Amino acid sequence: MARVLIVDDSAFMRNLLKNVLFKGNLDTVGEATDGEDAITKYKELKPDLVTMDIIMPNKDGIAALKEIRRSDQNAKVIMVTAVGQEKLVKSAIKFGAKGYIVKPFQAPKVIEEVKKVLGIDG
Amino acid sequence: MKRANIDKRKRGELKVRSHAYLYKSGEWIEGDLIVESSRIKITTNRGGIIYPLDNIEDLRMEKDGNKEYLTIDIGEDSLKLIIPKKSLSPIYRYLTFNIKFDKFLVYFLSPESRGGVFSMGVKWERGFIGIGKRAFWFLSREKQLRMGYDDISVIERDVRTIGEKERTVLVVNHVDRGEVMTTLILCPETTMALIEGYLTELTDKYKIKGEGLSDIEKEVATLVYSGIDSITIESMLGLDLDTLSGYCEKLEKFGLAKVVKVRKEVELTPKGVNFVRESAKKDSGLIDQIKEA
Repeated sequence: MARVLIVDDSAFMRNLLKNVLFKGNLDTVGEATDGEDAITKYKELKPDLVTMDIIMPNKDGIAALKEIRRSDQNAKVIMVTAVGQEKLVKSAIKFGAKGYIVKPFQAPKVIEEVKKVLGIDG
Repeated sequence: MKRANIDKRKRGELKVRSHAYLYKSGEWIEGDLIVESSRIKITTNRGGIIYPLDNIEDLRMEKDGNKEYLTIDIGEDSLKLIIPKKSLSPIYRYLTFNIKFDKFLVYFLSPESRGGVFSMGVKWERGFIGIGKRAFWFLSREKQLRMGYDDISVIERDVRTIGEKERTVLVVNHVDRGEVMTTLILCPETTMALIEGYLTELTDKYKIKGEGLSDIEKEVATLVYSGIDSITIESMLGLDLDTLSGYCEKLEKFGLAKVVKVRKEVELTPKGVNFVRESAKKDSGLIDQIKEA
């Protein structure tokens, strides 16, 4: 089962994503509440994929993405952000994000996207 | 199944001929469909019918069980046709360009996102938007997208980086078979103001007027938007069935949701879709503001 690290400062959002991933037979291996925490947990847990919120305290998602990708060029990170911040897509892609999700989102599409990035069929 | 014959006639008249089934008096009757440059003709063993193409007001794909058929609204009549897959695409494309509507030349990108997931690699297309009687259309050589007016939930201006420039675009959100789709339109200011004005009027009924939902009710709306079933919502938010039913009833009362199953299962209406998006934007949610407890 693919292992996912969820990074978001909102407990509600992490819980929602965890449930969505569970629906898609994906295992949430850990949760992080900001960019710093994400980097630490990434090194520790070595997940197959990270869902990374962008606007977070301490270190934002783009900075965390850069650092994770610097330490692991094969890291698969999907960025997650609120509606109205779509202009961040380009820089996220530039720094190596594999996908981009806007909140609010719909579960089937998120599962589909995560599986696509992981290279899992169905 | 026969393939569609498409040939250019001497006078440049396009003609499409295909095997088809016509729905009439409660049954599907086998026949022939002929689309000429100015009319549509259907012949069956029970006779034939002819309609001028310029009377087409709308068309859409619909489903009844495992049958997928094309519905064409022509004046007061509504034709239902099952057309073989290979023939459907050229016929559909040809008919869409003949619908009675006001057309504007624009650039559009669709979908920018579907269900919240950004579409990578989707490019801007040069085409038309058509404002019809019952639907809004995006038309290009490759795409013919229909948005029923009742399915459009949000129309607003926003900024996107196109090429190296920051450009103002129109963002149209609509629900397509349960999926929330975002489409962008880039066009001159006068056209933009016109489209915006027209669609804003249509989506006025979905405007949020301080519905007065509590944080927990907003959370329920967001979870419904995300497609989470009510049993999971109960366990995620630590609610019992009666409390959740009460919240769902409130969403229904405000026109944000409708009941779709016997066990008080609800799905969001276009107004509800708009509401959740607006909540997500203003506060950066409920979502981003509901921090660690």
